[in-house]
Amino acid sequence: MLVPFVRTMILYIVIISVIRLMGKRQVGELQPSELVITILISAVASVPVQDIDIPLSHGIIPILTLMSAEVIISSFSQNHIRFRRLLTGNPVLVIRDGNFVQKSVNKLRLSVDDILAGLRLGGVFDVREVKIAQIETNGQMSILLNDDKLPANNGDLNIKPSPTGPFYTIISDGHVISDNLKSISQSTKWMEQIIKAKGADRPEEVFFLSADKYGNTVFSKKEDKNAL
Amino acid sequence: MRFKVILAYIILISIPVLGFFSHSAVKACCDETSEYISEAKNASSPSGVSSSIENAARRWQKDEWILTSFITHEEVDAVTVSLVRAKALAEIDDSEELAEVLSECLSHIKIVKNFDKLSIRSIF
Repeated sequence: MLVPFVRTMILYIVIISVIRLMGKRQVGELQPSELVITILISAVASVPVQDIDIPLSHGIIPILTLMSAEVIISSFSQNHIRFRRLLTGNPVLVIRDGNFVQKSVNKLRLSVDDILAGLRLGGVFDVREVKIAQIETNGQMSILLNDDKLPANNGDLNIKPSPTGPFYTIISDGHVISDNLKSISQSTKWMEQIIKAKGADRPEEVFFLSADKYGNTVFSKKEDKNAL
Repeated sequence: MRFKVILAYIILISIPVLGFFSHSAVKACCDETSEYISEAKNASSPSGVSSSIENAARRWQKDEWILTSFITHEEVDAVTVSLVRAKALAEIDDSEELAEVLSECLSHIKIVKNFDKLSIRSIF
């Protein structure tokens, strides 16, 4: 019982480290080569987890090899456009000026329904509103609407909104995140003033507090557990 | 990113290098154990047979942990079991079955020796 446990824990640590080393793209949108690597890693790791007769090295060595190859190839493709194109392909235009580019649609072996579903997921229900829609190399669809269908922004409307910056979590479930206080150039004293003004005496009484560097805050006090 | 790329290069280079050394260690262990077993097969006196098998078992046990790190435990255990059986048969002086067990042991060792060997057969 202990052996599979230890072996699984070791492989878990190795896989987590490998995914971290491969970078954030691995856990987000996958390129074809990254998808292959991710599937392979999970398949390779499962064998020594299930069978304790197989040395752990038979799982770890392929995983490390795949990770190294992926890191080297992605680093190489970053600097070599042709290689990158070979590895990931090109984005393909599927709609131009409200009309399907049939050649591309056939080439991608997509149906019209697939493209319409992609448009709907992008919030577009009328194909005539689309100026350009293309399938990106990670398989997602990006859509550019016709000029008259683009939503108006503050610049178009000559509105000057009050400044807001990125919001940082200052208190999460009673725990103060000091690094985020530094990110918005504020002190603990400032935070204490804010929570006092919102009706809490101590950070432990706060469920959530976030703020930006312009002093805008979002506050949520902890609910009384007995009241729940 | 640079650190990751350098680390990736180090890993990618060190795996074949370590593989070479591990294969050398496996080969040395298998060759030496086989030699002791051959000695036992050719020994004329029962004490000579026993001491050669004892040497073979000792040599095998010395590197068993390296072997089990790279080779499926089933293959390594087959040799270990054969050696234990051979030791017991040498003690009761059952030369006929002993010869069979030693041959069996040699063939198991051959499998272990060729397990991690880079060849067309092992790749495909």
